[in-house]
Amino acid sequence: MQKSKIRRIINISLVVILLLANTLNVLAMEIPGYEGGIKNEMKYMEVIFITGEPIILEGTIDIRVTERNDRVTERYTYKLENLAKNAKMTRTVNLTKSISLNGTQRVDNHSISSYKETIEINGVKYETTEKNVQWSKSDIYQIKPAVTYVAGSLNVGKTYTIDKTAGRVTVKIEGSTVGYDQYWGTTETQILDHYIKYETFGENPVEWQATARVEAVHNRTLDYSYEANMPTQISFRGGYLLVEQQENVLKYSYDMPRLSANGTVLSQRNIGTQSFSLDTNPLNQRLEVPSIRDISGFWAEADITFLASMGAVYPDSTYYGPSLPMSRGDFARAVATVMGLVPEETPPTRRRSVTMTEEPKLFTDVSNQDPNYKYIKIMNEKGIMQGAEQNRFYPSNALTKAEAVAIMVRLLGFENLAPIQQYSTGFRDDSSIPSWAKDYVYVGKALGLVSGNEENYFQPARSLTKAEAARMMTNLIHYLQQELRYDYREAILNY
Amino acid sequence: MGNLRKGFSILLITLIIINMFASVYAIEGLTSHPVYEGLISGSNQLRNLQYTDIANHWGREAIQEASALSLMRGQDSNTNRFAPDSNLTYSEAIASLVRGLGLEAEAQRLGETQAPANVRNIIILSAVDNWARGYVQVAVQNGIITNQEVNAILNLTQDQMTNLEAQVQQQLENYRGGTLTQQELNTLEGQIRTRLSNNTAWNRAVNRQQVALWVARTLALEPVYGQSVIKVYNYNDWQQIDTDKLPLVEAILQKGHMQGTSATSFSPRGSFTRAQMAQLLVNIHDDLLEARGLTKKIGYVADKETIQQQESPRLLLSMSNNDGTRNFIATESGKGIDFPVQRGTQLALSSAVNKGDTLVYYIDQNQRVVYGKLSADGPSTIEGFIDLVDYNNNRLMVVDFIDQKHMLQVEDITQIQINGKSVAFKDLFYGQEVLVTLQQGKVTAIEGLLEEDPNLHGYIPPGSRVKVGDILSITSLSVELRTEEGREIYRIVPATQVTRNGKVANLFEVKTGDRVMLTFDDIYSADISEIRAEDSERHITGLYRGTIESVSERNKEMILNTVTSYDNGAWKKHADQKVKLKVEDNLYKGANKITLSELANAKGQEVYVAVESSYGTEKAAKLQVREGSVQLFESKITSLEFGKSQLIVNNNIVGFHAGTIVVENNRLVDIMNLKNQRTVYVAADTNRGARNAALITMEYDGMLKDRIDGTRLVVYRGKIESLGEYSITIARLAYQLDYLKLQDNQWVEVERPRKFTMSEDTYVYESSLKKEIEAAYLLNSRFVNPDNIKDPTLRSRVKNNYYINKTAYVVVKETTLSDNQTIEEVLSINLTPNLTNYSRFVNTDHAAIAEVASVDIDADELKLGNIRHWNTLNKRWETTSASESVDIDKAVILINDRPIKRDELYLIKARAKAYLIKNKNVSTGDDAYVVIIEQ
Repeated sequence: MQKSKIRRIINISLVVILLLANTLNVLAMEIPGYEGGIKNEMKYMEVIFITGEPIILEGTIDIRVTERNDRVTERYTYKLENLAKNAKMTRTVNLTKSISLNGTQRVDNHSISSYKETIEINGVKYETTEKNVQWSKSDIYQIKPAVTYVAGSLNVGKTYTIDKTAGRVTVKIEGSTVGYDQYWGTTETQILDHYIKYETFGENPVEWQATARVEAVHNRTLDYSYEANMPTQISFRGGYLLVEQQENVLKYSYDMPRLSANGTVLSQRNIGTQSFSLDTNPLNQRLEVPSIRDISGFWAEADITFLASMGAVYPDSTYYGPSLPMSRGDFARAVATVMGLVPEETPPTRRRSVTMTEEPKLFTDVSNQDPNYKYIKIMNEKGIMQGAEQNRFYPSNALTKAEAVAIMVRLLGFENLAPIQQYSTGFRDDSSIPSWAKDYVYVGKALGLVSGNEENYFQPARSLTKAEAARMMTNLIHYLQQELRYDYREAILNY
Repeated sequence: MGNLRKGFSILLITLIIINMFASVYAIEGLTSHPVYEGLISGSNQLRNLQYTDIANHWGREAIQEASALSLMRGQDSNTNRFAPDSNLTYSEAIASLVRGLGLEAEAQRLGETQAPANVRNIIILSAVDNWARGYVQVAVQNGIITNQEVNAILNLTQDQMTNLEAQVQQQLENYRGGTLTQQELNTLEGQIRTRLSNNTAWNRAVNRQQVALWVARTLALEPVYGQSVIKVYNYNDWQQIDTDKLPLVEAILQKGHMQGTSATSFSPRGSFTRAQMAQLLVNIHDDLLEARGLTKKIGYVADKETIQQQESPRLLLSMSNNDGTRNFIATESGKGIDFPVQRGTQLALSSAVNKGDTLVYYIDQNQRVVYGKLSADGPSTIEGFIDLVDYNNNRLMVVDFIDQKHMLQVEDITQIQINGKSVAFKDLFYGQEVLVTLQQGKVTAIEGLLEEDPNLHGYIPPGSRVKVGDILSITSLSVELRTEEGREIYRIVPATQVTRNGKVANLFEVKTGDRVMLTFDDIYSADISEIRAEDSERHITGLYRGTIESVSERNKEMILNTVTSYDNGAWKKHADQKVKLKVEDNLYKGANKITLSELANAKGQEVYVAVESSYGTEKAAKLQVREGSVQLFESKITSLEFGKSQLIVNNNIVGFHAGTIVVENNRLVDIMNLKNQRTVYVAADTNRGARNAALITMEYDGMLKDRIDGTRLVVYRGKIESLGEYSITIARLAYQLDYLKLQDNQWVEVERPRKFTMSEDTYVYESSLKKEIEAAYLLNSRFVNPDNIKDPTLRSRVKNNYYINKTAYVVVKETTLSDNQTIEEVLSINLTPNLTNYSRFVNTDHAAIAEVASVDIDADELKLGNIRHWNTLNKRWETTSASESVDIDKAVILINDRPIKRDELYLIKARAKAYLIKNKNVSTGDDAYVVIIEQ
């Protein structure tokens, strides 16, 4: 009796931990710390400006995260140096983060509990502690079906002492973060605007002001490539490879004083812009070789083979039927697989007794034994695909173009980007686009996810063939890999 | 052992359960909702209901319904008549009410057990006669009729008795004289008498008050007494109602099941027709459901589908019921499994039900649908404002325009729209105007209304529509882009803002080949709100020629060896032995685009690559695989034919194609930007007799040209004739030498003195003293005091009008407006009082163009590379291979049309393009006097 109670309690706490873990790991962001630094497997880099010239420091960063309930403590330990400039830095920061979750939105508020930073350059020591640091950061996450978006704001004020009493450097940083995370890519861009005021006291006081902007971008892209086999006498000609790689970019521009060798301020300024990247080693994952044979030489062969390798279309079947219409059920499977929406299946635990607790039916026309059941379920749960009236899903109905674009826009969570009130999507058959699909078609067109035919007809009710659907999926992957990244990296850094 | 057995049984159970589900799956399209079938002989049932004598009868609907619900029967199974206008008899009334209580079977059983034995095989009392007795007995048992009433009915008059006796004897006559014994005859006589007397008694017409009484008892209504009695007094003939019957007649009237024969009379003793009885039974039927074991459901037919089966097609109706339940109704008319359905007065089978109908249907204890009725009523609507939205329970309170509140339950099937757009329940909000459609009390549609402002149709926040692309061509009026979708042209309007690197810029700073982001203020307009040009991050930083050593498709990288780099008309060895480049697309072999894997097959071949710097990493912006042997040309294009894709350079015909790498201003540009008379450097491949350009760089030819926004910079050289209020007039330099204007890189004489407008923004530099003067001092404005000039020499020179009749360089920005009017604005003046030696025959000024390598701020020096000097004799730019340092301490410097101060030299960026006007001075060598920089 007692024993079973304990077990139940343990079970409950386990569930709580799991749930918590789930909510906390919504975004696998990799920007290390909040100082505009970048890192790969081996090293961490950031740039400092307090001496009056940009100095790139390299070294290690150690991040410890402990989670308790909805409070998270983060401990950052930096050990950095630049031998050429004879510079060394140690920094230890303890942050606490409180998380508030509300449906698909999450707000993280960070505050600082301790801060210690020591920089030694050519024998001059710059020091600051939490007593002289003002620090505040808040992030908002919006969790959309396939993509999570984040935006954050940071304000920091730091005052360093120079050799204890010789002078001080005041640094004000205003920062913002923007990013997204999805299966095919993650980008987080951190922009930090620095204002630096340097003063020394004594006989020959020196004073100067400077500004600098640091833009740090972490990007992870999951890409795929076809690897052909060298020998011809092998049971498969080649297969797909998933490659995940991180590209971390640091760009900084500065407007600093010109300083003489002894530190006095010269006329004119020292301005410039620098950028460099720090990539990680690619991570490889081979995909299974599908057995589809009836698409050899077909225009969408590569797309279909790749989707089959992902398991997004039935990979074990010899026949695909590329010109047959794509069914709603199969498309649910393809989208859920390609967007990585299907959670890893937990291995079945040992059954104590046979209790046939049948899951309540999701749709009256989708059996729990349907091979697409779990995909349809997840697509419905995430609000990407909805049933029709009377709780029907119509899994075998052909997928229409309007439905497909609606699904893609919902995945991205962009449905609200459409104009308000009445408007035309610009297609010649605008009037035949059903009203529910109009916003999706507009956004899909604006993002370049869909287009009309040569005569600029959208044909909303036309059913997609399996090959067209496959091409649409790979186009969406490319959008997620590149277009989104462009908007979060190049569009911010390069303009 | 025991465990094993348990395990086995569990397995068995599992199998059974799985089997069960499997079969459900197979039959019913996978549902956990109940499935009700039609009646086993539903088709026959329908035939029985199709009476021949009610076609235009007012009671047709009720008659058919009462019959379908087995409350009444037809008169004659051969002719299938109902006799609607015949008077209702006592026996019919009793039988109907017994059926109404679901006791028909019991009554028949009771009658059967009391049936007397037949004499020999002579059937006198039929089943109907025996059952009739049963009906009466059951009616008595259930208090529908009292024994006294039965006796009163059986009590015949003397005449009737006599008549009856005669009939008995007459019928008995048929059996006399046979082999029947007297005892048997006596039995027969008794049976005949019973039958005839019963028939006579019970087949008499029942009167209205009697029916009312019995019905009231059937429904177990409470008798109404005293003040509560209201209804009967409406009728003038109420006093004719029997006293004992009145309380229950009142009860029936209050229930509304019966009405009077007219507004003023109830006719308690009047007759009652069979059709009226049918109507009455239909009216009271809802109260009898429980007794009869029937379930009544009202539902919305959400779907109707036919499943083809081997035997006969199966019709499946998906019902969404008003009570919130869902179920299916299945019929197989091919097997007779169906039920009668009435729509209005028309009878049919389940196939007449349509999707969207509202169906009232009855299910019996065997889970079979016995009868269905389709509502003929249309939907009703409520219009008003939302007073409350209960998102948790999907409920809505609507206040209509007469302040009536309606609490509405919203169903899954309810279609919710706002301004014609399908939305979710959560999109409805407090205060919204809505139009609610109800069918059978069920909300089927909610149409939300939002006020719309036609001015806001298609509104997007300004600037939120974005287009990214590479500029194919740009003028002051339009820009053509290459985007993901193809070529697109957008309009540049006066309001269009231009930014580069986050700062406001001039339109001419946006060059062909730039990647730009255009923003628009509304969704239809082609008018650009803002042009944002990408900064140098994507500029071409190098042109390489090298041999492919390896290509990695996986990492999108390639390694080149033996690389040479193009530099000012020559290929120089690259410092690295192996050059690693990122490479993705824009790969060509001749005119054909190739993929990365095709490039991987070109290992060992030489390629031309235009390289850009992508965040510190070199990346191939465009690549051309070399085919054939190389020929290099550097000269002006003397003929250019896009139709033939040919140009002539140095008298050689060279073809070009989509794969040709064309570079201008450090940017990759479209082939259509080639211009006749431009100096180009061409690397051409000669293959099988054809010569095609692999690489064309359009050499920089200075910035004193008309620019896309209608502006140009003009440099004048002359003597200052006079200085006025915000004006300067320049005139001839020397005797027989007019003042000069730099035109096509040559100084040309201009005869008439010219007055230019100046402003406070005009930058004035005194190059002999190397001092800046505020324009106001030079103009000797009365608003400034020259004594404030710090430098004593400058102060005295200004005070003494020293600069009149001294030479100066004047940089003017000319803008041609759309009406061909030209505005001139002096950007900067370089006062050169020290330059005095001018002659018509010796010109010491000369022009050079170059690329800035670096700036030495402390030494006032520009380090230049890629230098070209203008050869005034053959009128062309001549390449100088060496790099050069130029003193700029005497120069006025403009960056992108903005004159910079002496302490802003740090603004000059490396790789900027520079145009220099230098003056050879015997004593000091080469000094730059005007430096125009574009970056």
